[in-house]
Amino acid sequence: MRIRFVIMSILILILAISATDDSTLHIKVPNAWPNPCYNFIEHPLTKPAIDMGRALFYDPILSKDSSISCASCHNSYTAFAHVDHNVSHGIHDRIGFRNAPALINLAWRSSFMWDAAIRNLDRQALVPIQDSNEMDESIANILLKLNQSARYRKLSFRAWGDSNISTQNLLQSMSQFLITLVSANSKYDSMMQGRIQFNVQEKNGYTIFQQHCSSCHVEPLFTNSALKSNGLKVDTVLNDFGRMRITKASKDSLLFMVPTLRNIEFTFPYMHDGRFKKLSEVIQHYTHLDLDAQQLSSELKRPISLTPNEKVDLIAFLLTLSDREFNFNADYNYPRHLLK
Amino acid sequence: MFIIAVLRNVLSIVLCIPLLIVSERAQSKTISIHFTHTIGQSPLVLNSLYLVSPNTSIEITTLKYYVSMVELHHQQKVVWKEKQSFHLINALDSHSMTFVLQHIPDDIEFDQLTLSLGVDSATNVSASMIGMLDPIYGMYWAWQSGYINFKLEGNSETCNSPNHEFAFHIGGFLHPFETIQMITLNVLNEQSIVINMDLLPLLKDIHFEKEHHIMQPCKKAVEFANHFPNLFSVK
Repeated sequence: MRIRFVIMSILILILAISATDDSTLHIKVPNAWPNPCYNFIEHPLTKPAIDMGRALFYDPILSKDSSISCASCHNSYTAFAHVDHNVSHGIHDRIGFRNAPALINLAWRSSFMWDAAIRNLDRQALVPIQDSNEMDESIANILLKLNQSARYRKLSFRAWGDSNISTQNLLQSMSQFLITLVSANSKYDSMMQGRIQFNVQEKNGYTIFQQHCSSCHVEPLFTNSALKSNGLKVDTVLNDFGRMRITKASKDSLLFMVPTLRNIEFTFPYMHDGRFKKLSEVIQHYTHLDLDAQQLSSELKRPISLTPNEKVDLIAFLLTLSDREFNFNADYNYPRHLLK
Repeated sequence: MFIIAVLRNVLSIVLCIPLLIVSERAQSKTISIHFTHTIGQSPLVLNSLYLVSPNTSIEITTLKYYVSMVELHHQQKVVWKEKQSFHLINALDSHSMTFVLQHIPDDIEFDQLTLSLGVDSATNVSASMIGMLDPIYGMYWAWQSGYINFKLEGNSETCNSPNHEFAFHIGGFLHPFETIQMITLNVLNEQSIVINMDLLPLLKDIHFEKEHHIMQPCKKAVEFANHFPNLFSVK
């Protein structure tokens, strides 16, 4: 009896191993970049898992009425941000309360959401899925739908050696796709690698940036992944106090995650509530800060004063962070071959 | 290439078989743990009325909680720990109220059993969502990123809330709102342990007219969770 069991187990294992494409992939880490936070040893990337994650990312099946997908608010052509929408949109035109952030270089991040509530990428997708103002769907129901789909059973079998889709495999597939979204090929990167040179305006803008912005928007990721208050007053309709929502501590009032500036050309409107439509408005905000504002981060306590020309130069530099290859990467957009 | 990989896997499995058989032959015992719930002296029956104080009667519709990190102690020292120790007790599902501790070496003696009511902070931020930690069981807050350690729902005419409902979702793993609680129970080498949770001391302390909802980590949740160690006893 035991022997039969052992033989059966071996057969099943062999089947599982041969079914799983175990050729692991690696994301390209540019020279001089820090090491990613994502645990590639525990969770090696594989093409089939990335495919499954990519299919899920674009599939409205994740929302309650199958009307919206992750891509509805995270558009691949605009650095996975939601252009022209100040806060996220959900099913039945429901409206959320925060700006859908760009999804860039997530492998280098250890916390997610504007309030850093999520400490593991695998748990991140649960937030928009279950939020009643976004996808308003339960994981249990999604698993039910996916497990009825021959397409997803096949994708899951290829990715995980199991055609039955579990929460863990669902979420890890999504993480794997998100991890591949690496933007490291902007004009700024070419300049850093010595392949091109900035023009005078960009060079001047870069100096201004390093003087006033880079202590929080740290190169090369252009964020320090920290919670800071940048002096924005609370919107009295949204009443969003940032990190304080999680900790209830007044010291965390109005603290929000510092976003990356990469691809900032495409990710308007800006700030956690999308209150600024143009980069010039953002710069206007930082040059007119109320230095006595409660909670203002220490990095901003020094007044920033810029001439109109300097403002233009700074914007010229910010535009060098656009990565067109990232925005038109054929591996990132709608996977017709997976969803047809 | 593929064949080599398969052969390599087969070889490693074959090599492991003697190990498996040996470990199975080692003498081990099991201990079954069974949970019961009462309100004072009365067994808890869901959707039934109970008088919890002279002016307050309540009905409980949901009682669910995580039990984790089950350990056996002998003379103040840990002698055995359950691996992957996460159990979700659900008063609605009698199967969930019993679990069996397995592979305990036969010669182990113990005089105390400890368990945690809730999920520890490391697990709260880990990628592991398998078994009872799967968010499909409705014991997970997405936006807060954390497990609900304890869920008690029901209704009471006293509650000044829609449909007179109350819902206490107790969780939180970040300082200062940690809600996980360690429960210590005196036992003596039993093969079967019945642990009773008497909700009455907790329910008596709730002012249902104004306290009917706790839905996030906060000071109130911590105060609520502080009751847990006093609710459990071995029958």
